[in-house]
Amino acid sequence: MNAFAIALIECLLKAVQIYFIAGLIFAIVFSLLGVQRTDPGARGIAPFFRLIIIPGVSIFWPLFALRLVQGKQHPIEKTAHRQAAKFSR
Amino acid sequence: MSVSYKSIQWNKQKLIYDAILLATVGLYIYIFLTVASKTGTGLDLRGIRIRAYGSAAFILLNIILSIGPLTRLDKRFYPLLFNRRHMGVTFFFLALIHAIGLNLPVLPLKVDGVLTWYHDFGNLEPLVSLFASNVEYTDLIRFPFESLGAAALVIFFVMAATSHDFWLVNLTAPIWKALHMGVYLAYGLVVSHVILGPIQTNQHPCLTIGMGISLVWIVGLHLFTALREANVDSQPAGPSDASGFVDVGSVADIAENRAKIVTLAGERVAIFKYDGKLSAVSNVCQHQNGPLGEGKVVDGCITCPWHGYQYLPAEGASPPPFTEKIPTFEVRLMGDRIWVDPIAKPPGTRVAPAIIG
Repeated sequence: MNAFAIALIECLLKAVQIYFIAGLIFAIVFSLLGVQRTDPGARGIAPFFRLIIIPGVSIFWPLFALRLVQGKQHPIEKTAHRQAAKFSR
Repeated sequence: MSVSYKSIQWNKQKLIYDAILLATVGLYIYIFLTVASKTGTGLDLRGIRIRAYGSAAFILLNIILSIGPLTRLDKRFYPLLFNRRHMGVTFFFLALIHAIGLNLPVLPLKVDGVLTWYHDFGNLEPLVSLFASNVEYTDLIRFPFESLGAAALVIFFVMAATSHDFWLVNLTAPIWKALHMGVYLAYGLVVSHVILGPIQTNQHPCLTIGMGISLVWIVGLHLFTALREANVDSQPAGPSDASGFVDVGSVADIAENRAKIVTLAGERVAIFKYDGKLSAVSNVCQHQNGPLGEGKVVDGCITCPWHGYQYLPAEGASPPPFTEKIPTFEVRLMGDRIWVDPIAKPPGTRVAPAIIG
């Protein structure tokens, strides 16, 4: 087998692994303690809801880390009518 | 709706939907294993299982991709759409079992996947072996088709992981939908994965015929529906008066508790007729951007045909304690003609309905 290919693939997989493990640690803490600060819809104990968001937060964890640091909540969506309404006030 | 999140919003219909889905998948895998074992494919049982889960996933992917366009063509397909995300998550787990197998201590069923059966006997990690054992990316005959399947599986993982309503709110529906459009890229990767892999080694014509039917059906159905939708959007709105209101048609055009859809201000507007009144709102549901105008007024609320999200027609807002809001439009009635202001009001702005008669 191609030694360079093996080294490159091992390196890339390790990088993905580190990103995802860091995300997983963040996601567990975030789902327990931080999610209600960025999304008011996350109320109560709701253990299965908190569990179910962990894989996704492990992928998108920088987004939520940034929102926590900036003290921001989730954004409001933009559609053609919403944009038009925003500028027609 | 959005007062607080639940892990899975099951109701009786969704439970029936999921039971039928799982029973059908189980039956397919049983039939595949039985037929393939008895017809002497030359494969060992582990190889047959890998193909059983892979083919089940592919068929389910075709069904999932067909539901959206079919609902655009015929409203009778809406019940399939109502719980499509459970179908998507089921599909992801089938694809995952195809790739990595199933070996959980709590389950009696053990299944080998591609990784554990074809790449677990050397001195390399199975995942490294999967990508490193063949790097002939310039050779179509010996192309490492496994990497295409792996790339598709990553996309499916992202989609399954973000299938909860939490992600619609936190990514916003347009971004969430754009992300989930990745399913078409993944479908292309899966088709390439099968064409450059199993089809090249498989002697049975069924696989080739099935793949051909899939491609023609999925591409044809989407093109046909897209052209039909583009035709609807290109219909010119009626004349406008001095104050800018646009004539959108006659009251008689709209059935009771239903809507007429017209395109104004770059997006579709739904004009609902209910209780002797007319109200106009943006056609785009805040939940998954479903087509509100294809829904109906139930218990005084516009009800989205996709997932049942509701809005008070004159308020452009969900009834308390729910918090969804959509843009509204001023409506006037002159004789039997309906005139709509094409300038959207901010989401949740109350607009007095036009009174009929």
